[in-house]
Amino acid sequence: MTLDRAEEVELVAKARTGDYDAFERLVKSCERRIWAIAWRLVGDREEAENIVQASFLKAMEALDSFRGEAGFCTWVGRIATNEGLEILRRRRRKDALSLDELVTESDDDGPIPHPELLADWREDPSRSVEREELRRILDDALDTLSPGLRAVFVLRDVEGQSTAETAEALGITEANAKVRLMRARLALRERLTEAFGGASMVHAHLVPHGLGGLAAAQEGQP
Amino acid sequence: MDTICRTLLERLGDDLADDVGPLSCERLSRHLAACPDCRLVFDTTRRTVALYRRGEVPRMPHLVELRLHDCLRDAWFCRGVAKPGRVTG
Repeated sequence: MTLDRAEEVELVAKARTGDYDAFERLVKSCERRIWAIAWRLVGDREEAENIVQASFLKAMEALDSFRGEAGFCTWVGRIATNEGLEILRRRRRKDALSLDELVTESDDDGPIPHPELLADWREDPSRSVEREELRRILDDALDTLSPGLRAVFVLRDVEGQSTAETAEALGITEANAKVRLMRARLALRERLTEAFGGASMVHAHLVPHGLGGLAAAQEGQP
Repeated sequence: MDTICRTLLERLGDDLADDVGPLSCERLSRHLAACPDCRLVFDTTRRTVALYRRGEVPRMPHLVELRLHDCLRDAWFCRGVAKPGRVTG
């Protein structure tokens, strides 16, 4: 169920006066989108359900403060993103070997991650790999990202939000959103090249002169 | 690492479509055509994004939807009396 802007404004106004049916229509108009964001952020059905419920409950509580600058779905999407990030951070803390691991982790600083594996994928993985296997590979790769990188990648690349929307949802600058997206993409590319790269795979760190010298090294291979 | 290779990596946070992002920059575009390694990184990065974008999300299960609406209805009517601006009677 899609609502146009005028319908949405009217439903928000009605919901603010206590009209539950109006609120329910607002929820129905975007519950699937919120589910998709939640699912992609945490990759777990039970946790995704918790995020969806918590997000709409918070939206209900804060309805009077909803300014309507962004659409209702965008607003709830931001709440869901924060809920998802909290779950990812909790997961990370649980998995972290020590507190230092968390403290030193940074999504924005440090050198640009250098591509380590170079290989053409040769064919379209979605054709050559079983659907379930492909999903497992993609999920496993996504799980290796920090919460900050994962959220940027999900919102920007998977949900198709703009850099500005992504940055706003996460409370970071657009420049930081781009840096995080670059790091996330490179990290995922590395994992997927590991899975889909052909026999000609080259480890960049073994090649003199870095990325620029790889082609020469590959050409020199038997 | 070649300076321009680094420049390309820095632009991998941009839109990767043909008409914007790194490919819209003539200098980078020329470099991509001439440097197979950068081309490989660029192409596999684009394919990475495309694979995730195509990925399916399981449909929201019907029971999850029912539980959501039960939960919201309960919360709404439990707090409804105190809701600011609520029209009563």
